[in-house]
Amino acid sequence: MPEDYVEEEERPRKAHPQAHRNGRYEESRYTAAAERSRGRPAPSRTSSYEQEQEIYEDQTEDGSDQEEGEGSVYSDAPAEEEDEEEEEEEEEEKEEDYPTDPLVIEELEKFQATFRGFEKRFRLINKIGEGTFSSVYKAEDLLYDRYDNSWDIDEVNTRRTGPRPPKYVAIKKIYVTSSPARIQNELELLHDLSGCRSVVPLITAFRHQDQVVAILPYFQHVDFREYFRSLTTNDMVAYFRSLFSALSHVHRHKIIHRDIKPTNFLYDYHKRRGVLCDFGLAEREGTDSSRCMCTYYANDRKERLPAIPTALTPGYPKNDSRPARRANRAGTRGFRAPEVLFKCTAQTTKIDIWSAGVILLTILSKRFPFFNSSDDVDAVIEIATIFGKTRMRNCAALHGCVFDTTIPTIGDKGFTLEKIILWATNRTSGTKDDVPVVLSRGEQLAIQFLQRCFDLDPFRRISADEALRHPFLRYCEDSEEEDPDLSMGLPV
Amino acid sequence: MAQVSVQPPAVSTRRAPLSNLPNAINNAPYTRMSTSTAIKRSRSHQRDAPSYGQPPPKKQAIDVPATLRTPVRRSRADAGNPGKIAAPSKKPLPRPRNTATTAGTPPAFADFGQQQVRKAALAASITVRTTTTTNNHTVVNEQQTEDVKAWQKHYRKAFPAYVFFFEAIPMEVMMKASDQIQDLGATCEKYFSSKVTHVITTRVQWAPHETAQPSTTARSTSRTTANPALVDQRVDARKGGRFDVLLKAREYGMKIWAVEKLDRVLNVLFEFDISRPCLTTAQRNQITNTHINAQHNDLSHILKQERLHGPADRDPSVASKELQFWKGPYIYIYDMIGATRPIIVREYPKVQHREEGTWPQFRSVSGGKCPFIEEHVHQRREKDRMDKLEPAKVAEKERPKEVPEAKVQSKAFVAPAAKMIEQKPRQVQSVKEATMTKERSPVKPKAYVGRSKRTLAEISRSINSRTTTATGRPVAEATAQDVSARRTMRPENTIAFTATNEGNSQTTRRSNVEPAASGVQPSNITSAIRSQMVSSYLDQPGHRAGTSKEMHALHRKVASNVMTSNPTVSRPASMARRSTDLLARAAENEARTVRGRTTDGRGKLAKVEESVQSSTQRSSQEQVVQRRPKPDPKPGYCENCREKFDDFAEVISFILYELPMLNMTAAHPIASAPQVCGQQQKLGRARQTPLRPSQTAQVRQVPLLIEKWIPIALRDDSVPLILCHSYGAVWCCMAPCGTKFSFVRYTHYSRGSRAQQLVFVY
Repeated sequence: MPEDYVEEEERPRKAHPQAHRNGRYEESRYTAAAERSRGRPAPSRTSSYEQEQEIYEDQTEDGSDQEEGEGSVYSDAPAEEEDEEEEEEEEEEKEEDYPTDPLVIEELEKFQATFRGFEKRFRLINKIGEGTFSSVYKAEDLLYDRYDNSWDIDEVNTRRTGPRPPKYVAIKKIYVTSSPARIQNELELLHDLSGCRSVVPLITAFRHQDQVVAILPYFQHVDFREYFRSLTTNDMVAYFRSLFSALSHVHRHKIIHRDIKPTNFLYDYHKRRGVLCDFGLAEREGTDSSRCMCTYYANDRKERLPAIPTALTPGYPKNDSRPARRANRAGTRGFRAPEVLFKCTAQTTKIDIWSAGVILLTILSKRFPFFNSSDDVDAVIEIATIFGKTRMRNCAALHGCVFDTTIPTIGDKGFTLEKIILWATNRTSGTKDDVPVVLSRGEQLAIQFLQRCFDLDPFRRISADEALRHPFLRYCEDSEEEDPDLSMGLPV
Repeated sequence: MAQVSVQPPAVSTRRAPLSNLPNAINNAPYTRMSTSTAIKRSRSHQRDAPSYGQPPPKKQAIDVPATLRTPVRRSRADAGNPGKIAAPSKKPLPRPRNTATTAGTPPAFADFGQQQVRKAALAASITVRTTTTTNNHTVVNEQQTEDVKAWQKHYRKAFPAYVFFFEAIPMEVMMKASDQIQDLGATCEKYFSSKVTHVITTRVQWAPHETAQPSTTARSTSRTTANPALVDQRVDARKGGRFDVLLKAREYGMKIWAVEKLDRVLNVLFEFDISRPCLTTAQRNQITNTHINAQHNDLSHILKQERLHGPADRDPSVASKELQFWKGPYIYIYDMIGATRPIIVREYPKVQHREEGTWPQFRSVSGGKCPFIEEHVHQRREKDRMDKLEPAKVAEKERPKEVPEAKVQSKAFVAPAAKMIEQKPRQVQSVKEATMTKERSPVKPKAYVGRSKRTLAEISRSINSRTTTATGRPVAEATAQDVSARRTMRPENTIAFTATNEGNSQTTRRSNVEPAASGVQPSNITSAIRSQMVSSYLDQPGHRAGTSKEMHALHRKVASNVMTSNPTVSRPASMARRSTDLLARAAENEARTVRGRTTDGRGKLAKVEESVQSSTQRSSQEQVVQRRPKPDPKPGYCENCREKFDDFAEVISFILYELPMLNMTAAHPIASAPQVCGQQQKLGRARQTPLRPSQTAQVRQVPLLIEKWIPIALRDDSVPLILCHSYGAVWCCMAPCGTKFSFVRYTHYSRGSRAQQLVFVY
């Protein structure tokens, strides 16, 4: 019986410290403990269907769902901002008395029914996200006060008067289709990574039969699309300082996140604070890796490999029975580093840096997504369009590959990042090609930084720690100049 | 009460060749078919078999029996001791009893061993490419080649009559061997019986000695040299029966072959096909040695061979591969050493102007949008999205048949174009797009009178030849449509992510979702099959994807046939949460009615939601407004079954919570494509996530997930093969439909040993 996926962590309790043990708990025990704490006898039932059904019915009447809105600003906020946002919140709830999407309602009901006593601990509010292997729901933490909330950065600093505003959590329901190993991996990594303000803390996790759920704090954040075009240099610096400090923490633990993208970095535009989340694809460095050519020193590599063929290939073999090169390619299209695309078998934490670079490019060019990359081939072409054949060849050679293309839009040298950014933001001056439009100091630094993130050689690419020392992330613009282009890009 | 006990084979750490993996899908149904009396070898079957998720089969040359391909993998060391193990004909062997062997004795096998030394030499020196020639041995070699051919002929004829039995052979080797043996028309017996003609053993001492020896000594020696992996079996054998199989075999006059001998015989019969997986691991290492010993070898023979059978210095893996020549611009990324298949291959249709190319390139598009997608694609996307969102506003009215936006918008010309493109396969579509660009380029400047935006290519000094063909839409002119769209729709602009592949992706139906991560692989499992399943991108040559789709479809057909033929099984799919508890079920029904009521009460709202549904389902849904809307199918991939599915909802509906009282008749119709599979070899998929020993006793709580039904026989009372996966295990067992499981025993061992056992009692 798969007891591996019993509750990964018992949630530390305030009221019953003895109930907190490090061992793994079965869900039934967990609920039993919870019920006992409420002064009720823990039922000795093994089957909990009746109760589940009760919950099910309850929930039907209680239509507390809200419209899906990823960008909406909900608050689990400190007292200062409470009032304002509380109002917003209530308004929204009133408006959304009836859940809009019956499918979502049904889903929430089903989900809630899975866990006995769920409704006593959490009040499901809405579905806020959906991924390949999980769905994320927003819920109110009804028993917030009973537990040790050291993870809650806002709560620690806040001295509150009067009733506590509702506390929200994000409930990540992991689908049964994801492998147990993946689930365990994610929870373990999250546990290992606890203690960094920029990495999402794992509050608790539990399992009932094959349903696994992780409870994470709900972070108020704004959808990336809402603000990425209006970021000032200082905003960018703040954003990336937060992101890179999270990466630094993750990479120090020799963990590769593998899926760095704006959606997974919940950035609170107003508080200038971001949290890295979704470690569903994360892995420890060296997992499943084998020696790739890129791990050799340049000289060794030259010895081991034949010279890069200079002539173009006439064609490709028709029926190729050779095995395919295999490497972990997990990640999101458009954010994959070149070594991932070249199927490097010894990928490092540097692939996250590349993805972070893509975010920066997105912000600088004010285009989201920057890379469309409907598949890996397109991704390579897109990257090659920017970097040019020569550099792509060298990069491919690093991993023992030959890069060969006759696509006319891929030049030998590619384009400089400045050019691309200027072009993308319509700042190229009409006919005079030679006169560069002056970039602000901040932007220049950002581009330098971007170049370091976009180093095609993963070993020369900047590391997260180095990045934090880079002038760009230490940069502070004194006067926020009003760039006409910036204001233009603001969403309506 | 009957018991079905299921024992997954021990999983070896070394990766076996793909074709031999027990659960390799293309292996499953076909290999067993060849056990008939037909002499004809069934390799061609295998080749034609749709190889879902598999690389193309490797065996190429075996269908032409006349050509003896130059051997590469024979080695001196291997053939050095043929007399010891492989001299079968020191004494005339007693003829197998039920075998009608063809007349004539084969050439002595020992000779052949020597022959092989030469062959090894041949291959080796060819790889070294020395060009010295001596003609001394030509005649001898000719003779030997003849011998080999005669020998081959003899054994080919004789093989179908052979009945093999494997004694104390590691599972892996046995599987390989039996596949090959069956290809040659012989049969393999699972149990020792008098039908057996050949016993294959690893107990080396036994094989060559045809004369009777005191069995005690033999046993003691075998004990000392025992392969640790075999200890168990041998102990079993000795404990269980009072007889030793080999003794018995000798008594019956069966032939006793060492594995090495079998390997050599097969090797000859398969004409040294390199892709034939060799049975003994020792050989593998020796292949490399061959090259080292190359210098000592006889060239004349090699040359002779070359004259007979063509050059041998081709890389066997690349050999006889014709090139597909490029016709248009391409991108080609391949392994420098050539050990693996090209990583990326794609060719694009030739175009006159580079802007017409369908590959991603910088396009001039309005601000904020992906620069690699053409503006009209963006527009089309937006329009599509509007199609979906517009009705929400006018939900009270019936939906007009025509697409209203096309009229509303000034860019009417986009609409037919978009329609034209919709639902076309990718390649076709991209070509279309190219032509479209051509057609439209003169129209464009008229349609937009805005400030033209220059492409990056123009900015670059190196490229200055082309004129402005693509005119960007000015940002300021972000049109009323844009604004209104932004208000009504969710902020994300994800549709832009699916640039050119609308045709082939199901994701368009769910275009409101964030681009999810892909290329996902479980971090701790490296299975050839799995990773091939996952990496389904079109970056590989050889159209695996197409095959797999058809296969899926076929599987599904079979499955649905089975299910419909069995009325007890086909139940509405709404029975998602299955519980055997009657009370619970009643409560569930009640809950559903309650829910139904509330939905009715909100009829209006429901209608609104209705119209948000994708336009393709519109008409059908109008009729069923009162019913609950069906969610869009959500395709995905199950890591546990390692299979793609079309709709997540259907997969999870297979969950049956309480196995102990599991009522099989209540299971749901098959949704995801099961495989037709008649073997229990599927078991090899067992995952190793051990349980604590204490769980062994807690039988009642085993939450198994009956994940799919796999029909193995299409009879009236179709017998499903059930593949269960719970956390940590994938198993299957056979049970007739309607079986009620009352008890599940689950034996499990520690992490070290990988043996797991699951016993269903019903």
